[in-house]
Amino acid sequence: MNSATRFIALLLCACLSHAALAQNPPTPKPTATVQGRVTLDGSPYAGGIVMLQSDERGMGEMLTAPPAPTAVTDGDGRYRFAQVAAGKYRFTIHAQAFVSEPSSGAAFTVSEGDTIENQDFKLSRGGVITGRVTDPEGHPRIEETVRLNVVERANNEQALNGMHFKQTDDRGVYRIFGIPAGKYKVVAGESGQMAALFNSQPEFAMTYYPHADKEADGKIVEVRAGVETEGIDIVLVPAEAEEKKGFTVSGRILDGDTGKPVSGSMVMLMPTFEPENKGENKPELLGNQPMPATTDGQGQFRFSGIASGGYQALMVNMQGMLTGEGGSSYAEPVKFTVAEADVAGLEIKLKGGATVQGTIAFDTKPNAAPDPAMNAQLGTMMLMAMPARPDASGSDPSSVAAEMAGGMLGGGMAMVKPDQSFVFKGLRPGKYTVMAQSLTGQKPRLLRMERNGAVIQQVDITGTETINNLRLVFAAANAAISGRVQVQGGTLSAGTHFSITAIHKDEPDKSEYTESDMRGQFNFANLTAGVYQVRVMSVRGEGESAFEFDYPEQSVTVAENGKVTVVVYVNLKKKENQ
Amino acid sequence: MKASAYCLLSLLIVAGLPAYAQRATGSISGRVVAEDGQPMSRVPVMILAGGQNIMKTVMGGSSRQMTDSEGRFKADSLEAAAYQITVNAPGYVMPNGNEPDKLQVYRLGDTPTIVMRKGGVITGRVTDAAGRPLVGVIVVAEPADGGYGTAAQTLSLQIGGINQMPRTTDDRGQFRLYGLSPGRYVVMANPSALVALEGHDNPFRAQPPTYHPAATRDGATIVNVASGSETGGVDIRFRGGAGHAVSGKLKGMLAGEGMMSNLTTIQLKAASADAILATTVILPIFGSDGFAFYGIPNGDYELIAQQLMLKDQSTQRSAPVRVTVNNADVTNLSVALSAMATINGKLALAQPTAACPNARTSELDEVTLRIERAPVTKKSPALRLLLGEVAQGFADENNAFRFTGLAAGTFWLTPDLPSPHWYVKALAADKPANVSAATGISLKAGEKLATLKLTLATDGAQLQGRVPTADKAADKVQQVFLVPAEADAPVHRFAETVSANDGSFAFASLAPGKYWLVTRPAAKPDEPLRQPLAWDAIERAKLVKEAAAANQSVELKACQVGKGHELKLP
Repeated sequence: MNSATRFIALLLCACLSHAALAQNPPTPKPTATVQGRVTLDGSPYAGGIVMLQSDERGMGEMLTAPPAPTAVTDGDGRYRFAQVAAGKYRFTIHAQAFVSEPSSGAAFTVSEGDTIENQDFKLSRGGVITGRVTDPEGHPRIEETVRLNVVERANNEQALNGMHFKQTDDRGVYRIFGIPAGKYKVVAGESGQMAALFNSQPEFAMTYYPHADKEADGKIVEVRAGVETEGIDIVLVPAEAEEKKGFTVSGRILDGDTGKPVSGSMVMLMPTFEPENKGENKPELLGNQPMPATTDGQGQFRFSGIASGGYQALMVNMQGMLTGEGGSSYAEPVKFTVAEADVAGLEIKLKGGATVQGTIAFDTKPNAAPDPAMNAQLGTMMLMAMPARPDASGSDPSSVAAEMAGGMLGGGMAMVKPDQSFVFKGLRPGKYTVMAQSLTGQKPRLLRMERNGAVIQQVDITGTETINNLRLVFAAANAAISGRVQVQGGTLSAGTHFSITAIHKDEPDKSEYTESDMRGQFNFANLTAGVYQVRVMSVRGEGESAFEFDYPEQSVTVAENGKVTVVVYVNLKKKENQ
Repeated sequence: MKASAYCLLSLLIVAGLPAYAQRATGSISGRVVAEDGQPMSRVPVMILAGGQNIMKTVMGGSSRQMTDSEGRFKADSLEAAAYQITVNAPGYVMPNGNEPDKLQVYRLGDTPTIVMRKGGVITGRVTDAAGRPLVGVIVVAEPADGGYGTAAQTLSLQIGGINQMPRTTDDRGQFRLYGLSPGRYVVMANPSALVALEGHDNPFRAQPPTYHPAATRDGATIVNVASGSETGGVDIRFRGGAGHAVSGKLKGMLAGEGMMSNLTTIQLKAASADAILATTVILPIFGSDGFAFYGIPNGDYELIAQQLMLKDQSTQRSAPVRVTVNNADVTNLSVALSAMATINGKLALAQPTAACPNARTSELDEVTLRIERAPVTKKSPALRLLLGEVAQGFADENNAFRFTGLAAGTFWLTPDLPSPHWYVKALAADKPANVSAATGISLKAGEKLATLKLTLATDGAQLQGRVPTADKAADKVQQVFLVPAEADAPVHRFAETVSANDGSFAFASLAPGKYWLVTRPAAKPDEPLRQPLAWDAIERAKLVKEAAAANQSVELKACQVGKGHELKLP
């Protein structure tokens, strides 16, 4: 394996681990305690492992963050986390063989000095389904994915703990455990994605136990708590031989100025949804979206298996984005129609694009001392030049998608360098705004764009010009609003929690969102200073259907580096017809 | 949200290996069979050109297809290049499974039969100190003698778009690891921060791994895995306990422009063994120069960091930094990167003096090259790759090749040639002091050797023969050396091989000229020679003397295929 492929693999892994590696935040004064009790079928459960996973890490920190704190239950099933830092957590029990209430991963907000008690987990023994997956000749199917579809669950508050799908081993054997009591259908077989990767069609249909390619014909498997159900063997049903009707689409990428072929460039096909294509003549792709193609030494690309319909071919400047080289041109998408025939001779012409460069900075007061920690936040920004849409009404969704793909995947993306400078290359003519995305948990907010000291709303590009001296000014995100939801006019059941938004008065389109924990506590960290409207958006949990809700807003002002506490009220009104 | 869009994007790259349209010049077809000769149908086969630029290799891999019901695959319209074939049949292993430094390449017109071996299986149970099953803990088998092992395999599968999750214990604490290449393994529960294997909510991340049966790595019991065998009862009593953090910052990282312009890896290696125990990465998008490992047990380690620039594959590396963990975290380490040596070279073809009959039409960009530092060390292949003691190169469409990330020292270049008629005619560089036919290519730390020129000729000879086999026991296998008969011949004209059990031997890619043949008993036939004898000046002189004394000479003409050459033992 060469280093490049290893590189991409590592990146992939990094992506996949993103959610899992969120860790506890670096907030000072770890003073809170969290404790509770874990029971198994009503008796104390010793040796259970409970984790507090932070919910506030950015992607950039995921590999260096320390492991989440864990606590092990004692002989009486009790556990305790002392010296917990304030912050937002997910509360997880490592008990994959059991069913737990509440389910693992519940949100949780801890304030300084908080003592949180009775965070109990009720475990019960999960059921097990095991069996073997074979082809019709009886050969084992290795690494076939087996899933459960819920038909009926005894207790709706019991969620499937952990993964409810498993792969078969080298004998074709699978074993799914920790299943809540209920009725299920068991399904095996690939979705066709894997076959499509290898330019093939799936050999077998998604097959329901014991041998059905339609869910309705699958047998129900009843799972009882703590009981192992064996022999749920699945014999895969051969996939219906789909007639492979498709056409080839080929063409070249040329340099618009010199006419020379461009090799190693990536091309994507996207369907267009022209009015005449709506309805029956909607383009339909065989299997999946065609894989992107790469041009060869003669600049040629080729797609096969393409169904009739309208398409556009887009040049994607992947290399420019990844390596930062060769990214100074763009290409207009080429629209074409496949009408029951192969399409050849498409020409995508590269044109030189514009360069936009500048620096980013915090909006600091004059003469303020530079803050290295704050500036470090700016070194981890990803910037996107977003085409300002000319006319939102009646816009063709596919051209918006193409615009996004062309802009985002092409020159319209830039990483801020450690010296806080950035460069966009290969931008096509048009008007652009800039979007910023922080890769850490800190989220400085883009306040304004300046050019030569004057505030501008967008960047106008007409040709191959170089635009210098763009300055993006950010507000530091170091303020916090925390609080709790107070229910009035009734009582909600224990597992209830709330979705809450904080809407910035000056930028209502950039609202922050969070969920409360089961005590109604919530916390917005990494806010910029300003006036926010804080309101409850919705209620999650049992019993919500019995009430109507009224959500008054709270207005909260928070200063730079400030922390404000707020109580938000939810007024319950019993539904008349209940 | 943006993070996931970004992930989607990278998935797109990996998934986006298209049917790659190329100059229609040839095909590679073959079959995939099991050891018993039965065809393996519907097995994914990837055929990737190694010599194209990185982005092409990553995005524009040459062919992906599934074998038909007879196990056949065929990739048409391929450009001339050296190709690598990867077959992914879960539970089976490729013939050259565990040798990261040796490439098996295929060229247009090749019709390989790829024999997949049923992998070995290890099963067992993980329990906690109280003997209760430990559920959902990751279990891996790593080659006992070092290397990337499972981590690398998991990674390479993910490259193929095949998402192989790490294997974890079930509700009974049981695990089943299959598809293992034959070899010696250590089996561990809860591997240390191995990037590839992090995935789920893992409550054991702060704890060190436990090796079968209940040991640290030094005390691990080795598990021997034979092809197709199943070894049960490889139980692990999980020790848990406190592991420690090893963290710090890298110095001297280069900045690149793209969001994935470079990749930095930091590896934690056992100080006294080749085993790479943990790997972590720094990507430009992390915007950081910090690294951290967790769950590291007490012991002596070495940290090795390297930064690879994707643009030109130039590499920076750190000297190994010694770390001792003794009941406490080791933080604030500083690991300094410095530039590694680079060789840029060009292939040329000499004007042929004769056109060999029936010779395959070959192209320079089908050549692969290997460069290796002498004397060869006894480190594992993976570690030698990591330390820049060995490197692979591919000729590109401009006949240029490049080695990056090389250590300082004396290197020897050996090409893998597309035809048995091709041979090395000359090796030269613009700085003659660096390159000599007698002493190899010498590189100083971080040196950039810009113009290595390797001249190949197409009218080479071959020689086949036999050594006497009075006793057919395997220890009668002989080493056979071909020694140029003129004084001070360049090292690339020396050749050596090992005779087969029936005494037959064969040489290819020989320069026309006069040679002596000489044999030596192969000391340990199961242990291949670690480096060609001619790379060492003293050994070479001894060999020349020996060959001249034995005086079994042969004269090879251009294009000649010398057959039936009977040798006498000294």
